[in-house]
Amino acid sequence: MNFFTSLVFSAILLGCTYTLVAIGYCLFFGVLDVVVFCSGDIAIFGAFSIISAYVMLYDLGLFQVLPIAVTTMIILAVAALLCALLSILTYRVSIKPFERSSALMPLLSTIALGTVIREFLGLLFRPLLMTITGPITRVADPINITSGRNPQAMPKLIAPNSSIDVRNYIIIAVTFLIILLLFLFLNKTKMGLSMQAISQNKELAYMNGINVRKTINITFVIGGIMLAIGGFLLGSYQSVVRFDTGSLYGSKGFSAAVVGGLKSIWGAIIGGMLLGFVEVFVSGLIPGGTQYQNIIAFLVVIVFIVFKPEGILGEKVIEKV
Amino acid sequence: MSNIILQVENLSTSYGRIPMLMGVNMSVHKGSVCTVLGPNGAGKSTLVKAILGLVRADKGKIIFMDQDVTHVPSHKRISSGIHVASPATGTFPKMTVETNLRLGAYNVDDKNILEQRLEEVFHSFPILKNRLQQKAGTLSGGERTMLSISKAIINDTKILILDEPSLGLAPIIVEEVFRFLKKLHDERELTIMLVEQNINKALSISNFGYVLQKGQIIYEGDTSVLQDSDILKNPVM
Ligand SMILES: Nc1ncnc2c1ncn2[C@@H]1O[C@H](COP(=O)(O)OP(=O)(O)OP(=O)(O)O)[C@@H](O)[C@H]1O
Ligand SMILES: [Mg+2]
Repeated sequence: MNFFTSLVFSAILLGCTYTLVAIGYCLFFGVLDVVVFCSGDIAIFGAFSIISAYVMLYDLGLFQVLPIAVTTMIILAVAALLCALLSILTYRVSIKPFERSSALMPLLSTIALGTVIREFLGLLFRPLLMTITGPITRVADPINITSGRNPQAMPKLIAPNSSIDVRNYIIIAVTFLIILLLFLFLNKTKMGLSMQAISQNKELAYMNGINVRKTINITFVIGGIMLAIGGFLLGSYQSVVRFDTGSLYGSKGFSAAVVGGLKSIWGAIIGGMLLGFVEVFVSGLIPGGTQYQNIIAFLVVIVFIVFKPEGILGEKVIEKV
Repeated sequence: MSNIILQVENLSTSYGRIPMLMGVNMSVHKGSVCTVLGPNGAGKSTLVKAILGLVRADKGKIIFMDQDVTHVPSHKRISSGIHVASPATGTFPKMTVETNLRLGAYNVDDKNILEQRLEEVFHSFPILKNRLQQKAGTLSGGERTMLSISKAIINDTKILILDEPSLGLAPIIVEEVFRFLKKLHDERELTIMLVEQNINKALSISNFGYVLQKGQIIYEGDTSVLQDSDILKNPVM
């Protein structure tokens, strides 16, 4: 792979991880018109769920007994389940109680909940440090670890014995598969169509007899699973996870969603990829660019918002007279 | 079972702190066509939404088929037989006609029944059958109205509530819509509650009428009496 293709490849990879979080934002915004600011933290919580499940299976000695495919499925299922629960909890605790108040309230409360999730992950994952390659080392005195309690090594679940390239191909393939499944779900099932209906016109969805409450809950389950996969892929791509990356990851995903139009899944994909490309190319082509990649990524977002406030695939809001 | 299919008792609602409906009473008899008239902002759409459960009742009761549904969630009221068509906004413009029909049938679980009712819809509105894959937003105003009303056929509707079906339609299309409503009523003995600004058209097909003003019923009576009453000559109407 020459330098340029490897850049494109990395950009797509990073874009994939952003896309999944952006889709989370889209789904939530679609049914509730609310920006769920702790989405990035839910995703990182997913990555840590994977670490915990991995350690637990390791402690139980299950890696010796079960084939790797089975343990991997168990680990991912645990993470998906936990993220779905956290996502539902987010809805119940920090969004639903404010249904009748100003739109600012859920914004604030999801930011607050994000902080809680972050700090919780930071505290909980203190005494445990895993080396990247193998056996788990428990460190008695966390204070001696430089950079504190985190980061944690992400277990290699994807093709552990293959090269990084193969692993990355799989990450991209998984993202595409997930997006394909989501599209099928949204367009072919009653629940998926109901989600779209609520996103287009909530009152009319009620008038059609759609069980809006149930649909919202299921949206949060599905969004939570998307975020778990996002956290999984991000962790696998970066090999390590840190408890506090959720906020930056979340703002990237949110930016991608806004650039794409906030209610469109296609928009989220385009926005996520755009952000991935900007970041990777800035850090790859500009000497010392790594330091500026976030700044430039957000500058691009701001430029987009200025020139296309409705997003790439969003609809122009026409003021009715 | 009583002869009254829908009864609104002393209903009060508010938007925030501003009271909207104030002690509204009305009863719709089974098999009748009942009309609600009133100037802009009188609270007609609010009344419809309260019947559906989209606006909360602060006081009073809504009784549908002898059941108190005041605290029943909207989707259950709809699956029990209330159907609202508000033609101006009653379809999902970005979705195909087929998807619109499918969403309208949200509560119909039996595939055979659904097929059968879809056939009835296509029998009544042959146009829709040819346009299944077309986006609802590209239908004409009349076709969209038909689509939104046809959801009443798909569901086992006991009372069809229409919020201004004539809004934004050319007079000739309005004629067609009302002819169809009359047919629905005659063939299926469907109870219809009609909210209209087009007073003459509304009165032409209904038996009983209410006049709502500033959130209160200021008149009720048989259409024949209402037709000649002074209240409709009021310039605000
Ligand atoms: N969601 C809302 N929040 C606050 N006020 C509202 C809301 N919906 C309606 N209103 C107000 O309540 C009043 C009654 O509205 P409603 O839509 O019920 O009137 P209407 O009789 O249907 O009028 P029209 O003939 O114009 O459709 C209006 O003054 C309207 O501005
Ligand atoms: Mg109205």
